[in-house]
Amino acid sequence: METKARDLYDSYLQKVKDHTIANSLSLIHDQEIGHMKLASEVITTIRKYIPDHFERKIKESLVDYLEKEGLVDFDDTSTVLISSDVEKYWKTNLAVLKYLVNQKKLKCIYITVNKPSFSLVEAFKREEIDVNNLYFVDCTTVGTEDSRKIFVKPESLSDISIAVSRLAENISEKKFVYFDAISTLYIFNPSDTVEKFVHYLIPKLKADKIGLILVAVKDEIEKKSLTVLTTFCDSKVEL
Amino acid sequence: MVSKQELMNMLIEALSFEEIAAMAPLEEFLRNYREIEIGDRTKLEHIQDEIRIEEKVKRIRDETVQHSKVLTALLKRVVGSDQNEY
Repeated sequence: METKARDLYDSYLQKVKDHTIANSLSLIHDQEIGHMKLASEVITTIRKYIPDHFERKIKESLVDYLEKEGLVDFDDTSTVLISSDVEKYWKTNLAVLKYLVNQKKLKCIYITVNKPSFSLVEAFKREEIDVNNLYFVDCTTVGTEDSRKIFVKPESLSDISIAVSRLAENISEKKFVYFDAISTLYIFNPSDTVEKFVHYLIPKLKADKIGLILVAVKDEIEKKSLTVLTTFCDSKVEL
Repeated sequence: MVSKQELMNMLIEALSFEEIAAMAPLEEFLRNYREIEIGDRTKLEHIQDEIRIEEKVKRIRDETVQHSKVLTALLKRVVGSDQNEY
């Protein structure tokens, strides 16, 4: 994993000539080399002292976790804002999808703003999330489109809404939209534009009987914007 | 030299790597590690004083989180800039 990271940043550093960007990438690159050393030490020690550790599989109790977080009553007209620290963000995504897609058997239209859908699908498969229940609006536009995946630029908010409608038309079962992450949309658009978009999207989805989960990474969003989004939603989950 | 769009794609790819490929196994590792029987864990943390497993993995995780924040800040800067080549 860390070798891949080092190679990734190596390739960037060969291409990027802007000093400020290159310096930041170079710092990350150097830390990744340190990570390789640390990870290697950890693995060697664990293998030496607890050789069967890697055989252990510990299942997390998702229902317990989510019952505490208020998603048990989520249905096809619910609108929930999940506000998460970046440290908990990925775990939150997996937990919510495992619960709503695998256990509650809802279809999910997943709007991804900064992670290519093909890499998400690979990650979800590793976590045993049923990817057959997932459809994507992919704002990274990396990869190729198909019947379950529509590419939209993150600045084209009305196109995101149209793409959701197009995918939803072909899904007769109960479904919800998972917005990963609404906070990243603020990078590409002014705050008031994003908020007007969400204000428009929520009643539209409710009318179409489509649930909505907005994920906001706290470090990526102004407190004021988080408050505005909270007032639009039925409930807020703070992680 | 890379174009603005090319750099945005690079930063998005790196963010995706840091937030998914790197973070998920680290979190899983720490979760599994804490489930190891207390006796075994004590052995790991104390018999070899130079090896502090949890501390080391947390450091990797914390720096990975920091990478994600730096990449997000760079992406914000590039998106909002008029500069076309980097």
